[in-house]
Amino acid sequence: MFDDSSHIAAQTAAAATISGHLYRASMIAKRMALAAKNSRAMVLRAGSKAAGLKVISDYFDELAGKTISLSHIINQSAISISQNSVRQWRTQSFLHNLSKSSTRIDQSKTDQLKPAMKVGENNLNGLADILQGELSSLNDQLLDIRQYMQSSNVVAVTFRLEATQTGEFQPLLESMANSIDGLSNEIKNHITFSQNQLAQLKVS
Amino acid sequence: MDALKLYDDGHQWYVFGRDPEKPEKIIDTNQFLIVDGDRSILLDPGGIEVFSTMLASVLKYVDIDQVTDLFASHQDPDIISSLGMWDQILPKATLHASWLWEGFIRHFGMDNIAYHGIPDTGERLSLNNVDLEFIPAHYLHSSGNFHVYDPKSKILFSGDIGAALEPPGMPMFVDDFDSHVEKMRYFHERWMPSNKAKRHWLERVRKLDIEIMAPQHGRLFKGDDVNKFLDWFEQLEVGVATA
Repeated sequence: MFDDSSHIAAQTAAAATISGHLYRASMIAKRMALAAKNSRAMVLRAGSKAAGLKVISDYFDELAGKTISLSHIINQSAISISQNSVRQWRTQSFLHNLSKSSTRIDQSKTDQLKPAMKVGENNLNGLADILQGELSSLNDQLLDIRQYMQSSNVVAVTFRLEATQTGEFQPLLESMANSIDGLSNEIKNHITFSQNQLAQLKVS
Repeated sequence: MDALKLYDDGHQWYVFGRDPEKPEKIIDTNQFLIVDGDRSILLDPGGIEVFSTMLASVLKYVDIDQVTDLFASHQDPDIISSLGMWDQILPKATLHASWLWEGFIRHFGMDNIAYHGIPDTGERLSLNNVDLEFIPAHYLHSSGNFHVYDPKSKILFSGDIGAALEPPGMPMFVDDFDSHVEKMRYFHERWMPSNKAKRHWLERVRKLDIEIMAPQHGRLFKGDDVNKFLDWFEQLEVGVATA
């Protein structure tokens, strides 16, 4: 059990990698929020011709806001998992060292190490329980954000359709729809990557 | 890891070093244990690579509950990077080190052990029957640096001062001072940055009655070799790197 440091090292690296990808996703979400505000301004300028787009634009703006909030929360979750992994790693290393020490000393002295070993093992078990809870919660949050991005793709399709009714504004609004679509897909790629990493963490 | 009892009269001093199991490329270190009844202090407990050997060595002489204090002469990894491990085995211990390094040393992991910052002027630590003196040695080589003097045993733990770079397995004590000089020269010229700090330290240390001067690397000095070292160090120009 105490020699399993390579597994914990891999877990720490995976959690940090997820955190990095989710940070990048949150940066893209900010660009999405800007795109949402631009689309709203464009819809206002297009006036009655784009009346059908107003509701879609408002929804998109709301979606972008929710995506930013959620991506911040899940980034924090990933950081917490990474920190927890480092604590596990350190505790495991401590137990490993204690185990090595105990092979070099008398039985009576080995008994003196047992309380610390017990505390270390309890800490390790506690950290493992916390980690399982955090992984499960992160998984749910990633599913939520994936759902948001699927909605965002649908918004882009509807936006593109409605844009055909707006005359001279059509090219600009279509370009915005493409931007929404592209940014949503970028975020989805990061989420997919993170979900795959998370699946590996849970399996190992 | 070799262990040698340096003093035993009411309280005990042990030195641990010459660890044959340590990874080849890490510098050899001397760790010290002072035992005074139910209280013991580990001086420069060492890097994380020597922790398991050190723990096993220490437990040969004391029970784990007897190790109540740790001392770090300064913040370097070979001195105290094992802290995250000691922190878990000695959760009620106190670490004594320069106030300057608290925020840095905590990077080694310290959730349980208490940090006692030694003021720049130094101070005393009373164990049971012995009062240890933390002697300022700032800029030798670290900017917040202390040595430990025990007036009863007349042992001065001198951190990096007196250190020598030698192949593994060297004897514990200097046996021929003149030939030992060349093993110390580069270390002191390069690692010690300040002639002014060196003079201050010499002035302070020459007032102490020293039987054994015990550095954290290399061999220990005994009897006349202590004064020979102080004289040699006095004339040595330090802080020589110019590139």
